[in-house]
Parts: sequence; C-alpha cells; structure tokens
Amino acid sequence: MRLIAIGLITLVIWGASSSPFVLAEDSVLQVAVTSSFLKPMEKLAPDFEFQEKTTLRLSSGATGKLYAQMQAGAPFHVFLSADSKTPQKLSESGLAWSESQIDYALGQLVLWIPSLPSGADPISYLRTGAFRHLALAQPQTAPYGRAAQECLEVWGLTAKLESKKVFGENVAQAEQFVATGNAEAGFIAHSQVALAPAAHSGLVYRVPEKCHAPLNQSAVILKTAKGRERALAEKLLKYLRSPKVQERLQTMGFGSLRGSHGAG
Amino acid sequence: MERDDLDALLLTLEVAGLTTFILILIALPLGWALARSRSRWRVVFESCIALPLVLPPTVIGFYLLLLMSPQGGVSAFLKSLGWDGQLSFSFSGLVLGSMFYSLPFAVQPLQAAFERVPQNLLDAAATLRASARSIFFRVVFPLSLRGFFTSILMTFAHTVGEFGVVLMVGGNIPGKTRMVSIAIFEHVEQMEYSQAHFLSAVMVGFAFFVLTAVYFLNRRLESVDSVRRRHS
Repeated sequence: MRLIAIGLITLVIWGASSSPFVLAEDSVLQVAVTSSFLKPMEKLAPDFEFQEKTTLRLSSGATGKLYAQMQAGAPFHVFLSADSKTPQKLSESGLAWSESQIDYALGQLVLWIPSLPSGADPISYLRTGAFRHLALAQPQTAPYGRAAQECLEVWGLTAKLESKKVFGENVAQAEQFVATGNAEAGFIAHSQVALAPAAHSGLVYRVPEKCHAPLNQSAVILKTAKGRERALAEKLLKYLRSPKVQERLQTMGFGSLRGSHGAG
Repeated sequence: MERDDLDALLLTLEVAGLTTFILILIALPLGWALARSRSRWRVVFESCIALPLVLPPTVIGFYLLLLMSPQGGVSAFLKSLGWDGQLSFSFSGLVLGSMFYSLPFAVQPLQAAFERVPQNLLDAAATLRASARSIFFRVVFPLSLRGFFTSILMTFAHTVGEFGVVLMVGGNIPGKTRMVSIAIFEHVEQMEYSQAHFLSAVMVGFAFFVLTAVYFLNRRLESVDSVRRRHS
C-alpha cells in the first residue's frame, strides 16, 4: 500500500514537472547584467518578453563580480558586460561562445557638478581645485572609472587632483557620493542622468569622447544556454542590436554604435 | 606583498586600535550603568546598544553617509565647534563609523562582567571607606578581568572585519580609507586571486588567533575565579 502511494506521488510530481504548463514556465532566460545597465535593461526587457513569450531574469552586479560568479558556475545564459574585455576572457576560459560576442551599447561619460550652473566651464573648476572631493568609479574594475582617469590625464589634472579622488565601487556609488553631498563633483555615466534628469541638478558636462578609449559594452552567450535557451539568447542579442532598441538607448544616454563591430 | 596591501593592513590595525581604545573608555561607564541600573528604561538602552548586531551594515553606512556629508547633521555640529573638516572619506570618519559598528562588542562583555561583581563586596568595600577609585581598581577590575579581555579583543577583531560601513563611507582611498576587507573585495573583482588569497589567509589566521586567545583567557580566568571564590 505504502509503496503504491509513494509510486503515485512520484508519478504526479514527475507528471507535473513535465506538463506543458511548466514547460512554458521553463523558458526563462537568466541574464547577468552589469549594474550600470540594469535600469536600461529593465526598460527594454518587457517588449522582448512579450515578443518571445519568455521571462528575462536579470541579476545585476559589477562586471568583475559577475565574472567571478560565472567562473564559479553561476547559471547565467547571457552576460551583458560593462566592457568588451571580460566577455572575451569568458570565451577564452571556455565558458562562453566567442562568436556570439557583440557590442550592445556605447557608454558616455559625464562630469556632474551640482554647485555649478549648467553652461559653466567644468574643467577650469577642476583646475581651481577649490573643492574637497572628486568621485569616480574604481578605475581598476569599472570602465567608466578608467575613462575618467584617462580624461584627467589628458586635461593634465592627474597630479593636481590625486588627493581629492574618492572611489566608488562602481558609477552608481560615485553618483551616490555626489548626490549625498559628500563629494562636490563626480564622473558618472550619462545614462544615470538621462534616466533621472530631475535628480541631477546643476552642471552635467558631456565629456568629449576623444579624451578616453571608447566605452564599448559587449554581450556574450554562455555555454550554459542550450537548445531553446540558446536560440532565445541569440534573439535577445539581435533584439538589443535592432535599430529600434539602439534608438531607445540613445535617449537613455548611450552613444551610437555605428562603426563598431557586432552582429549589426 | 604589494605596497597598497601593506598600507591596507597597517590602516586596518590603526583604525581598529584607535576604535578599541575610545570604545573601551565609553563602554566602561556605559556597561557599569547598565549593569547596576534598576530603571525600566534599561531595556531600551540595551536594545539601542545591540542594534548594530542585527542591522545590516549598509543601514549604518547609509545614515552615516548622510550625517557625515558637509550638509549633514554631524558636520554642522562639528562646524559649530570650530572644526571645518569632512568626516566621510577620512580616517576620523572610519573610526567614528567603526565605533557605532562595534559598540555592542565593547559594552556587552563588560556589562556582563560587571553584573557578576557581587553587590556585597562593593558594600563591604564601601563600609571600609574605600574610595570609589580604589573600589574600582581593587575590587571591580580584578573581578571583571575576563570581561575586559573579551571586550578589547572582540572590539578589535570585529572592527578589523568591518566591511559594509567602510565600503559606504570610506571612498576606497589607498593608504587613507582602503581597509583590508575592501582590498580583498577589490582584488576579487579585479580577478587578482593570489593577492586576495594572501590577504584572506592573513585574516583567517588573525581571526583564529583572536578567538583562541579569547577562549583561552576565559578558561584561565574562569579557573582563577573559581579558586578565588573557594578561598573567599
């Protein structure tokens, strides 16, 4: 009697887990998103989910941290990185399909100084040094931090501002240092401003792109994506590169990807 | 070992050392008052002191970030005293943050120890006209030695292990506010696993040493206590 009951229960569970309803639930794509792209991605996801009748499960974190998690076997299908180097590394270590890598966005760096009126000259402000702290993202890990560092070098301010620099773990924390008034100026991502213009009063200066290496953000498909997930992942990357999405991204503070490599 | 890592280790020791020193001075009267208090407000104070144990460090970090900003309350207060510095991103800010974070570790062992000091011994000392000072040094202190050791070691160790608060108000400035836990975090993010391993191993060794010292001293002093009690 007991054996039969156990058998029945097993059957029911097995049946339920392979029923068509659950299968539909199964088409979930696990997407690892670099923290600076989480908000834009949240805005772009619904259209795709509707089109493909799927669910995108977004996990965000610093690119380096996500990389470490994937090295340790995190079950992500797609990785939207803040740079193009980290996806390459994933492919090199055999975790991702190198041929799937495309650029999905071009980051734009801005310098935010709340105390200055818009239209003021931010570089002469930096040159006066009449402030206590300049916030930027950690250059070793965050591409926007590295770009900020490169611009300071170009402007000849590296040595002068050395003692004033404070480092956020990423651009979000750099923004938070300025937003809370702990730092008077900070290098952040244009997308942060574009998505919440009201929260960024004062001067938001678009840093000329020629003063730093381009902030290409790459996506790659991981080898954990198989069958249907692999197909969905490919569709997602194509969707991100579509003219419609690229146009929307420009309104969210990203640059135009023309001329950079990718699936096109 | 890299220069930056050595700096991080030394800075961590400095922050933890200074935090422990100041906190013990504060915890002493506080622990004593709580141990002897009969007030019904006592539980409220005890809860306040225990808060950092259960709060996410991010909560402490968030409030400190707001309070320590140049427009914040603490800065305004310090300005009225004539100090025009900034606490966030500074050594003093780290020490202040650590004091909140480690407060229960300083107060609780001392309070527990003071509660174990028998009231009749204090009364006896008072009837013999011992001064408050000599009651403290000749009665209370020797009987609370365990509490003092535990308090000092745990406060120091807990401050060394601090992460969330420092991450939020420190600004990660090498040699100034970049403590060991942050340095490890950075190394992991930069995929520099060998440096992360080294610093992590130092931390494991240190934590093990401190805890062993605490348990060992507790054992030793426990037996001393019981011997003393048998003779008294």
